Amino acid sequence: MATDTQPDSASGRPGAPTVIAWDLPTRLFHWLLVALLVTAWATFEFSETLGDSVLKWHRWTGLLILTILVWRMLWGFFGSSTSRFLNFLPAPATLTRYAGVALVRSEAKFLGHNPLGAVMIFALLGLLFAQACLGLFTVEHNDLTAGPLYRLLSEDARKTATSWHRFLFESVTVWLIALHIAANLAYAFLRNDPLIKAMVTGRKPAGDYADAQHAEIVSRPLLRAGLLLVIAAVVVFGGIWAAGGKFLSMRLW
Amino acid sequence: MHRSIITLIALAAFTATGAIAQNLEVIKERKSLLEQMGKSAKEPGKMMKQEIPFDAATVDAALDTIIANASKLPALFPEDSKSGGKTEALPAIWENKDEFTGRYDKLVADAKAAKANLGDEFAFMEAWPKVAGNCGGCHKKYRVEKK
Repeated sequence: MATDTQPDSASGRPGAPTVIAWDLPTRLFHWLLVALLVTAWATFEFSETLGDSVLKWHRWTGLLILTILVWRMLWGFFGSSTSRFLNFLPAPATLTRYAGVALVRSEAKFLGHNPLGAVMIFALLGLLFAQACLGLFTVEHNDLTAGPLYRLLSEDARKTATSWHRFLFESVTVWLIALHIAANLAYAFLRNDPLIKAMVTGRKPAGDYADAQHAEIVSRPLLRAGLLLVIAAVVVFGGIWAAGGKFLSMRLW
Repeated sequence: MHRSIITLIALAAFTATGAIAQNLEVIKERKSLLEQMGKSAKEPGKMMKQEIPFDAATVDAALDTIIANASKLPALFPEDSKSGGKTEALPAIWENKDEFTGRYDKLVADAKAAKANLGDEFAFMEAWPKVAGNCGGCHKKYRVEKK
């Protein structure tokens, strides 16, 4: 399972060998997160049209996002090699050197996250985690509903959490997401580094990568991921309940 | 010659002050009506979030305030009230006057429907969002964004 070069006819070059880069749980997480983020935005933006003024869909989506983000943090310690934080946390020297070179010419290729990509991933995970946590304390504009922990805060603090929940996404996170997408497109189409495809198929062309020649996939990745997902759900929902949270009307049926 | 000029200037000043005074009045009145509606929605909001027990009388009174105030508001956005008096009204109001005033009609209609269906707590939790949902919808488009 470790040395896993396969001829890849889909890469356009018949017989070109590929190596495993991302495990399945990581890839599922990534695209599920994308879908959930779009859903979270849409269920708020179009709540009137959806007839969901108490934002049930939005609140469920937010809780799911929070759960898979906690899962990702666990996977960052118990997942495959390219998913582990300690494996791609860049030293400042590495970062400046890579950043300086990357913008000028074709720099070293990385199997997992390159140093700049790593910074982006940490930033996105951090911002989205903050976003989801703020939602726990946010009150809906028409005072119809609120996150499960809003009562822990004073009126003023609730207003602050609410406006940050809006502001953080609109003014910061969405721009970082745009940059993230642009960067990945640039790497794929300008630098011939198929990052987006790799996050779908999990494979990259075999080559001389600076970090590793292939990913070390953990044993029984799906089982492991499933167990950690249960733990993540317990942490999120149990944590909210333990903090005295109250889920307001969440029934979707 | 000088007296006519002075008279003209005085006349212009009085007219101008008159016009500004009218603007401020209208702005002040609509702000007061809107704030009153917002205040009346506070208790029902607490009921929605189950902070306080449901009380039909309070909700009924809130709906009456909304119906009364929303009926008066369409007339309080004349062309000369676009600025001044700390108004939070956005220019979009006058660019979409019909859509804007239509929202007050809808609010009145929704509030009347809610009054008719005001039964128990569950009926309230179904009916109230249909009324209060109008608030945010209008604010999103027509009120200065609060930071």
